Amino acid sequence: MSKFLVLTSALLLILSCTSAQTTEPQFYDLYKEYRTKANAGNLDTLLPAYFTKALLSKGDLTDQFQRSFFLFENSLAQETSHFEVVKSGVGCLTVNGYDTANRPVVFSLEYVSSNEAWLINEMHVIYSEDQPMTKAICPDEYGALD
Amino acid sequence: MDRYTEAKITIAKVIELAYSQNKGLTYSIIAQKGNAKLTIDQNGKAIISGTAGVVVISEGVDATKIGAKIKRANITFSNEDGMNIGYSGTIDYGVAKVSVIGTFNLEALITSCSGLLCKAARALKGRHRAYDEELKRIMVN
Repeated sequence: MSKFLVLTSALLLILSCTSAQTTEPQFYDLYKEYRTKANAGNLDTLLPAYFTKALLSKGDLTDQFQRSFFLFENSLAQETSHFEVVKSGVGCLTVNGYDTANRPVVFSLEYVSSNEAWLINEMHVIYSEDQPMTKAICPDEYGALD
Repeated sequence: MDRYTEAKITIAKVIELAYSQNKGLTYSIIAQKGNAKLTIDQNGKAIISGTAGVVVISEGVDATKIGAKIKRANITFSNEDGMNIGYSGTIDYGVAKVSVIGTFNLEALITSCSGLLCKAARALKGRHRAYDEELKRIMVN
């Protein structure tokens, strides 16, 4: 009986460690999940679960052009590669690909942790000579506005 | 309109606003060899500057003037051979930023807003499809 308890405890400990490891964010999976779910009809209900309040309050969601940024296929119609990194608690995902007119484009997203969820806090659509990107960059690292 | 085209048309409209306010100086700043800069801050204050001087767009830049809601912008122009101007920069639309690069012909741009088409576009306070198409032809290449 005591052997059984020891084995069960060891198994539970291993499982809890494994579980802790799988909570590490995979930003590309989060991006894909949102991209697959989002459509013009469900944006308003979907946005608070994937974007920070800070980002949503910066724009005007009644403006069709601004709204179009939330349908990711408008920024990136075809994907070729992606990279991600975590720096100082902020996650950055960089996706290379082509836009709807087949122009090379880089889509850069910043994720921040909020109430145990990772939410998109910044988006940057980059048309440049420096592409495709060969590593993850954060949205603020390209074309500084200050 | 896709964001690539939209960003380029936004840049053209801000240059045109500066030109409508101070033709000689705006032309000199951009036509002069070397770099010039266009910045728009969070209050809509727009400035075009270069070695020839500075033009401050006194009325500010907002959606009623350029047809797009923008928060900030930072564009650099480089003039290597007179009328062909290279540019690169970033426009912050609030929910997202867009960075673009390209070239345009300065003469084509400043003459695009000299006739009836431009007057009609201004009267509409925002969007005018034919004028946008004209700017697209000049800026997207």
